[in-house]
Amino acid sequence: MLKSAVLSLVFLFLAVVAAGYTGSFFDATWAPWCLAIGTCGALMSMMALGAIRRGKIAPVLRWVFAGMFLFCAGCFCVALAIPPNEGAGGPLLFNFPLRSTIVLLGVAIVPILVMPFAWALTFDSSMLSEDDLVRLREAQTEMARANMGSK
Amino acid sequence: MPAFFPLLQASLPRMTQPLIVAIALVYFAIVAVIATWATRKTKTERDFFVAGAGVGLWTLAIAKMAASLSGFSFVGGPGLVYTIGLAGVFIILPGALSNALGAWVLAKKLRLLGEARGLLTVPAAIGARYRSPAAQGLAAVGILIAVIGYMATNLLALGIVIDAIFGTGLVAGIWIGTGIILAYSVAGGILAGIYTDVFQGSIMALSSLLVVAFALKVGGGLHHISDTIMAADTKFLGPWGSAGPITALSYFFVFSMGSLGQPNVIHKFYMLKDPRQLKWYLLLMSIALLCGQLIYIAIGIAMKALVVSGATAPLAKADQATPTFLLHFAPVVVAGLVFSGVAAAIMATVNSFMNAGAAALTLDIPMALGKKLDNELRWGRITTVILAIIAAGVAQISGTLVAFLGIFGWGMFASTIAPALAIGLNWDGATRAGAIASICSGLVLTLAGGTLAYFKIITLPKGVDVSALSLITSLLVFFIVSWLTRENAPAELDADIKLVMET
Repeated sequence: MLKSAVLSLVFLFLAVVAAGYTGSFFDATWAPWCLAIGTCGALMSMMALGAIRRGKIAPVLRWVFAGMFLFCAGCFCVALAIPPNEGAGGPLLFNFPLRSTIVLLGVAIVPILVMPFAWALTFDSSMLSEDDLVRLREAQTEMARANMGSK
Repeated sequence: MPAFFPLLQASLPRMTQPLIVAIALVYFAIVAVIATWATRKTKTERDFFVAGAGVGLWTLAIAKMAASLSGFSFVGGPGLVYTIGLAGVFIILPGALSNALGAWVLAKKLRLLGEARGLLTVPAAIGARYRSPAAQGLAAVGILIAVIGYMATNLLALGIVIDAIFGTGLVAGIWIGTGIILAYSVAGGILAGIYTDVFQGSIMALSSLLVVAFALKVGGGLHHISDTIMAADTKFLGPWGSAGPITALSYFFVFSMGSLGQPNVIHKFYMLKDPRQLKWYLLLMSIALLCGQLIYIAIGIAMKALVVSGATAPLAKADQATPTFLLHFAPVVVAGLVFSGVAAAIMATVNSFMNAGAAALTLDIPMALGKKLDNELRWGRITTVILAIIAAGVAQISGTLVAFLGIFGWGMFASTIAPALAIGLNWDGATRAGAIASICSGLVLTLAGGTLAYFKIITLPKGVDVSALSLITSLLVFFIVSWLTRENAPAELDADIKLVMET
């Protein structure tokens, strides 16, 4: 059920990206918004798809993926919404133009600070524990034996 | 890295200064020593194609970084940023997210699948997932086509660098560079490649960090650089640069989602000795990639500030941003190190592509045809030589065709491999028909669309590239055809593969 929902989200966000590219052929003003929201959504929903184990996603990862989608897409949307002001004397944030800093924070700096730790801290419980590996190898050995026996 | 802006246009200034030549010679000597050591350990086809699946985490992370970054990151990329501003950064900007995507979607599953089936290639994983030699063969054909173009582009770039440092002439530079890479790629395969990658990746990261420090110093700090550029060019430092949001966001889509289909990078998951070491993979990989990529942004922006402030003349060609900065604004020892880093980046990438192409010819395509070669190690070596000679020949004689071949390299990998592999390994409802349809649509759209766009028979909107259109199409085709043929899915998934997918 959860996997079907996440797969639907992946497809939906990819369709939004496709809509963005279609809109670019007509110079549609909404095309960049579709690309921004669709790409961020597709990335995060695919990560969520990869994180599903036995029909569940670790609760902390749900928050990470949903939060990172809102943050990344939000930063893009803010940069698209704020009028350009990168001329002489324009506003700076961390010594760099405001809108550009928002984008850099949103899709590069914050993700690089969050994602590796979300991955590492949930790895044992949600990705591959020592027990998982032992069980997998035992099951594979059993299957190989059964296959040999059937031949 | 992308072949969107190959180094073909680069005509580097002569750098035949004694210290630069000496550093380059030391670099090549160290590569030779490491390669000789690793070559002695290459005994089987498993050593040749997946480094004996005995690589540690640090080695994996640095080697993956080295294989990810080509000479484009050191020369073409800074030139692109110098030309279109921050839009050019969107090629590397998705790195943090695309690494995470690769970790959650592919890392564990590919590693465990490789162990369960003794897989040596990326197309083999597609073949195993769908129990389909046809899907494996088609994916291998896509890899083979893309590899030739990619290798030709990179060998031309290496020839340019060798010519600039040693004054050999371009043609000799191409063949000397090809010979050096061939020497260790043929003898030691990916085992020699991966350990030279570690050295090469370290050089790339060190030189990148040094350049960032000098770029900030020369430009008077980030605040001063921002003020200088903003006073002269209102778009350059805007979030979409001077190319606009469609260009920037299209790069973001292609280079994030497309990273799931780069065989030279994802293939390395097979090589990790202990899959539990993946726990800290993402952190190490992110740090390594961040270090290696900083040069990409720093030089482009610093050169723009130096040009608009009148400190240096406007560049005749964008690709001269890196050499001009190094020769005029950095100590010669740093210049020598960075030029060695450029050679390192190119060599690491070419080695990985040689190996991927040789694997496609030696393992995947015969498998698709229902055959198995007798001595895969020997054939791996022979096909490596053949591919390298073809690519070097293309680089030497084909002029602008090499750019044409390189243009769709990234897109071909992405659109033919990413949907079937990345989604397929995480969705037991995916079907063989969906995989084959998406691979075929990626092949046809990238080749046909790339050809039509290159010869200007079709015109795409500004910022939209054939690679992006073929990637999004193949992703959607994969979903739609899998859904239409969903009743076949259970019968196409072997029990051991399902076990890996559910672990």
